[in-house]
Amino acid sequence: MTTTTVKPSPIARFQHVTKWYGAVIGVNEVSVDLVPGITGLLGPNGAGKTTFIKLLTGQLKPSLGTVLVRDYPAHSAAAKRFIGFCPDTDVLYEEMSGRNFVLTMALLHGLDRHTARERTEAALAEVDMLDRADRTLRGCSKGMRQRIKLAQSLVHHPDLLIVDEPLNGVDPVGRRELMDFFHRFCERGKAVLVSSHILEEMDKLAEQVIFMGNGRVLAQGTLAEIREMLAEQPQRVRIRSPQARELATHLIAWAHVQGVEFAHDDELHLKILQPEAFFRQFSELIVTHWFELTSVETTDVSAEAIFDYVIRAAGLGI
Amino acid sequence: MTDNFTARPASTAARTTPPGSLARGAAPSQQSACWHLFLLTLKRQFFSRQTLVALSLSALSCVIIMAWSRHPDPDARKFAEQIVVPLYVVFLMPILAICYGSSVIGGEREDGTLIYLLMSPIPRPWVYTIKFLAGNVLVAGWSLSALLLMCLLGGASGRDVLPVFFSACLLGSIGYSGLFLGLGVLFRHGTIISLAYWFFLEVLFGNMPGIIKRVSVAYYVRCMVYDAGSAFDIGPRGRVARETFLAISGQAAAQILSLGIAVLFLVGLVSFWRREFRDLN
Amino acid sequence: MAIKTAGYQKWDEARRAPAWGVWAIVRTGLTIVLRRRVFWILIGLGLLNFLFNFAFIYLKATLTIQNGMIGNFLDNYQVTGTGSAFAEFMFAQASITALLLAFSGSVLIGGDYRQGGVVYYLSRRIDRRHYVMGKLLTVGAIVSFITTLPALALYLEYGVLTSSFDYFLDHPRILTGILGYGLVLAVVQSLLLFAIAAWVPRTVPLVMSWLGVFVLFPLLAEALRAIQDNRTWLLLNLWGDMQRLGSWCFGTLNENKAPGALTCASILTVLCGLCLFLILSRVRAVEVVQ
Repeated sequence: MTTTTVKPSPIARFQHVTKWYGAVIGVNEVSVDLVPGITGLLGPNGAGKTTFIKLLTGQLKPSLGTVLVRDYPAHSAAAKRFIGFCPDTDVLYEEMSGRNFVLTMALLHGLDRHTARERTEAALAEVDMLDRADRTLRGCSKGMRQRIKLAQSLVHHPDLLIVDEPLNGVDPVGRRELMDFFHRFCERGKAVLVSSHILEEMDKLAEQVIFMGNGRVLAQGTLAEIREMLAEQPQRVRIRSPQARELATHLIAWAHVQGVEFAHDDELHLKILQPEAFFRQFSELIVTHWFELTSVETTDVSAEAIFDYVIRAAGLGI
Repeated sequence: MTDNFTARPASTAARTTPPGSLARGAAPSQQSACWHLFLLTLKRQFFSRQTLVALSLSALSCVIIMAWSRHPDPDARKFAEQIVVPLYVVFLMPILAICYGSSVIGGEREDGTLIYLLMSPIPRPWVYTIKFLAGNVLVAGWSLSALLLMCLLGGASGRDVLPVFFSACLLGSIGYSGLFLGLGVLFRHGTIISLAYWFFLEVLFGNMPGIIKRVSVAYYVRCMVYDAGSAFDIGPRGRVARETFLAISGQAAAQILSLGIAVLFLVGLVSFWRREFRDLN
Repeated sequence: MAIKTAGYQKWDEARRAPAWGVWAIVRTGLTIVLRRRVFWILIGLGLLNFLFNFAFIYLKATLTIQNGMIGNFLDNYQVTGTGSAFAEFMFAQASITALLLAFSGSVLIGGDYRQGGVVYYLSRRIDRRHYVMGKLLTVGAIVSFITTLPALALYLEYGVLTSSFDYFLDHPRILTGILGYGLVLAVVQSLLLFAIAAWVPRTVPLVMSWLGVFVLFPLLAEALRAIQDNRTWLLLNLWGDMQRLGSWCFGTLNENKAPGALTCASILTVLCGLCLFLILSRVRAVEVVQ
């Protein structure tokens, strides 16, 4: 039986987009599709993440190429209906209450007052601010302000939610709630683009990631796909076994094993290439020789490690 | 009200909005969005600290007039030349215009809240137009109310000169407002640039001999006032004063000022439309 | 990595007194202001008057050598190296300073209150006295840069373009006048600006309040004086008070016309005390966890 995976149609598209600021290049020949689901945007400072977001939200126009949101140019007013943007900067209409601010944003999206009120309450409920939204924004904590910013970006029911550093200033419980919210949002067939430096959370959050560096998209896909793409980059594996020394004598002879280190008498640290081939051969070895294993784990599959690899692969150095 | 966001998609390919997408189904209205932007601008500007300061300045001006009205033999000409021109035309009207005109867009830009307006589905030219209208309503409203109050406090002399100043001050305040609104779009420190313009071009150049003063809004306002107030002998007297001022007719001044307002509006609109506000976040 | 390589230093428990922090605040403040292009545009416009005077003195010196009559004719203008000419020059410069300070006040002091910068200052080894002094000195330095320094340059120019040092020896009061009037302008304007900017930190209301003080008060003073020709009302004109005190420093004040220098000085002292009270009560309002 053949199974075919239908790739969801993109909500936003970057087509050969380049943006210059005078002599400085912000993003360089970027072609990316944003599909329903959570996409993480990663990269070091100056990688072009902010320019990417500004192009997507229509704050900037591309010097070359096109950015489309639901087939409308991103800078057009029509595209804004499909975009919800939660900026990184902590700016709000300070004199307003949280509820009034979200309502104002709903009204600015052209909703009638009745619908706007309904949507405001719904958006506040989504971010768990329903009972605290009457406080003046000036007196709100950073976490509450972050939630209000998120609520205003949801109030018009966008198809694409763009959140810049959304977990800043939010406590651990709040973080998990927000992450759950992003997952729920995507279950409705919508897309979330999350820009963040907290790679650990991106691991848990993002289904897809876009790695940027020097204005280019260095890699795009799921973390596993990227890992596979970068199979030629060395990966670290930690093996715990009472027969560690015997195991090492076999492993050292293999072509994909670049290095073997003893951390303790019962713990080996390997540096390997082509992980898929290595693990196939390794399982055969275990079964053939009946080696006793306590644990086998790759120590660097996290986004952090992949990020590190991608940056090194791109010659940016870390 | 039906959906009237009418921009065309970039491609004619089948639209891929998922069924039930609320952004599509809720029929948002552009007129409603524009109206709320207008109300929001008026509300935020009016209930602000600058209104308190404007109120204080207007109150202080009224105290000055009350003191002036106790002078021996006040008359309409003296009231116009000693009070309305130096206090109102040269100071209060441009300051009120800076107060609201430069903060309508410049203030949002300085605070970074302009991002929320740019992310709304109102086309940028409309955002500027609405802001321009709201700014003008506030500036003209404040200015004319202040003028009315000052003239009423000025007694008979004040009531005499009110019609002379009314239309000139209306045009003048709109001119200033449009100018400072445009400067708020063009420059990051729009308020300071507006202030520098007022001080150097309006106050210093406005009192220099020759045609250099024709770059100032106050010059045209004064020309309109002098033309309309000829019955009260308002205006430069003596050869030196006349040749220094080099007045043009009130009608020409009104036409130039109106044309200037239209040009300023268009310049501000195009600039706001085309500009990439990189300093917002 | 060695601790030294990482940039850590041994704590030697010997730091300079907190009062030195005042200079750091002044340096930082001046850097904040001077790096803005707008400020240089305003300085440029503000120095137009200075350039005009500078050229005029040079022209007068040249023409006097060629034809003494022309030199005498040019003495009719207020750019002639007399005390009243310098007082006039500094008064004109001070009115430009008012504009410059509207901008500086917003950036230097208003910004600290709008964006919470005061906390950064007060979390160091300085207390609010040092913070206030640092900011006042910064504003004072800007005022002096536009008023006192150009006046001193003109004084020097006028003296060295004559054939001997007699001008300096004959007119020592001008030097004390420049320094005295400069001090009055710097002290009063910096205190007044700080008080306004601390309570009205946003740019537009700050500018309006600041200009209101310098435009409306003179008009009010004149309107009240004219009712019964009571010159005491002129004390409401702070600008005029500073000018009269400056003229006294130059020795050119007409003592027969009220208000006198002492009255003006008293009014300005009371004003400065009030400003200081407003400043301290505002800086006190910032809570810093010790």
